[in-house]
Amino acid sequence: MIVIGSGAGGGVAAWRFTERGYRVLMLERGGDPVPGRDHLRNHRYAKYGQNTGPAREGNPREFVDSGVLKIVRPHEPGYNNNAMALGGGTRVYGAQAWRFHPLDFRMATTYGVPVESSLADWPISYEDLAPFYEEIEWTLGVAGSNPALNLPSRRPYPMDAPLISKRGTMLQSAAGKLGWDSQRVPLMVNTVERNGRAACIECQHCVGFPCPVEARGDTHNTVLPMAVASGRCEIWTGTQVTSLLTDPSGRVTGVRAMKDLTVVELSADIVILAAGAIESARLLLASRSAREPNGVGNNHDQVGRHLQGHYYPGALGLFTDPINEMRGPGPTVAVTEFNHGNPGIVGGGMLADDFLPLPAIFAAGTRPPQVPAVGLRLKEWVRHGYLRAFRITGPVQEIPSPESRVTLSPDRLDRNGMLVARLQGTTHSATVETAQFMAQRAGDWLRHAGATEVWESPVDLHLSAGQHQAGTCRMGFDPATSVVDAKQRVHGHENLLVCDGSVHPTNGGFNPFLTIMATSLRASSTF
Amino acid sequence: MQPLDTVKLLQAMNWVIPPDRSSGAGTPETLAHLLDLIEREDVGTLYFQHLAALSAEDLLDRTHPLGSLLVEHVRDVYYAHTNTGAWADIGFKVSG
Repeated sequence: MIVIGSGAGGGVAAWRFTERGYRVLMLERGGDPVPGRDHLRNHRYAKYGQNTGPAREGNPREFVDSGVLKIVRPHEPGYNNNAMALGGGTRVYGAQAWRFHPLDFRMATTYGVPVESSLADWPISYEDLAPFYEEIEWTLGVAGSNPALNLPSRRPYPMDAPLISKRGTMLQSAAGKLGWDSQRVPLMVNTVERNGRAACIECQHCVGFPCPVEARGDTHNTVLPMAVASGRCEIWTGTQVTSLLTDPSGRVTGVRAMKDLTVVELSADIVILAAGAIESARLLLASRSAREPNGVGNNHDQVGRHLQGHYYPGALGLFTDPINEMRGPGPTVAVTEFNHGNPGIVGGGMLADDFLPLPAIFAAGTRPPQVPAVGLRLKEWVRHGYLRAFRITGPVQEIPSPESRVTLSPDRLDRNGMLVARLQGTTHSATVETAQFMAQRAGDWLRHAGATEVWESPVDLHLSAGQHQAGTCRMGFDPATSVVDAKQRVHGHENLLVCDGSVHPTNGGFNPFLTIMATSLRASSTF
Repeated sequence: MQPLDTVKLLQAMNWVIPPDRSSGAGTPETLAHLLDLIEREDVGTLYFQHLAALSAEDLLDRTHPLGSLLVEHVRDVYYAHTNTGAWADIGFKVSG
């Protein structure tokens, strides 16, 4: 068996299949290790480069922005890079370990289908996924409030949440004043030593960087070591798969890849595609044959469509006294009141206090509108505000559109001779309405917490397909409107599975990695 | 990279982050980080061509070939590094 990609989905698949006795070759395009804390070159502030792959040169994408075709490099806006490294996005993620809400799987039934959207139900339910959520939470280790709110009854988390910060206490109190239930943000971070990994040292910079003590549960320090320890898993880093190989009957027989500047062909009985919603779609589209001239699984022109991510509306609040204690691991308190049931709104989202930004990020982008980008007022704002201001924000449920999509460039090749991905489209107007609604709720929360000034973030139309990219190989019963079936097998290809966010018909109003892991675990357990 | 007029560069850096009760960005420590960034980003020629005539007003002119780029570069290196004085100005005790 070959697994393409070592992130949340691929890592879990490798673990479960080796546990079941399969022999797995894991092919990861990125490298290992991931460099540490350069504040100007990381996944949270990528202006001058990133700490993961792909390399800055030789790996462009095309991005159609308001009808204008742009060529973008991996660290530039519009590329929507999901970290390419051993561990994928989990290597630099914030580790918010949310389950999706039961209604997230029934969006079309709950709300109807907005005009020009492709809103759809999942072919599986929350109940189908619940045991796999729980297995991930307990095997990899999640810390959080017990019990979680707004979900069916469940086993408690294996670890308690970190000690609450001053601002977290204020937010809990403010939520109470508003009549909102609040909970600690569940995190895949050790709050005590567990499974041979250290407890969190509260360094505060989870997101964007590798964890310096491996307290955060990434795939490279959890499921991948378990897979390798079975003796049945081998991992090749620096290996880019450039096409899937099929026989005349259409059966997938292996992959063609570039390793050490050499083309290699590898055969396999089963192939698991887990390269993220952009690269998984790209690889299917690039794997053309006489039987499937538009790419594997794409005879109905569905591969690459419904590209989505998450909008992050919110508000910035300024407090009189210092409120940021500069302790990690990150967001502390969340409200899930508004994920569903908002009058006139399709879906909704979760709100929580944001990760503490690096000083460079705060100076560059965490400013009230009246503070200029240069000069004494900027300096005074950073001096006064860095310890006194923070954002409430969260991902909102996106309403997918078939016109937001991944296609292939007609002629632009990457350094390995593969046609590059072209991203195009925008978000649906219903998502913008949801985002505006959530920004107002974030402002309400900050005001009740005692913020003396609050600035709600403006919302505009744009394609959002970054680290939460999803939807391009959506799961469904009908091959005419989906790419994989309910067991995540590509329609018409019994031995080709997709195990990443691509399969999400909708992406919830929560950070999606736990759902990517749970769906991958389910597909790998039931294959 | 062609040598830049460091006196003018230090002046321009202080336009971006001016001195007040603490030093501005125009210090040797921040300058060293800026020169490193200019070299890594391969924009030395752009700096060389436009630095001499640069005025404080140009920093706010989005059409100026160097102004907004210099603002971002100076602000980024000043707030990204521990030895520029920025973190101490925020309230951190910087130790090594």
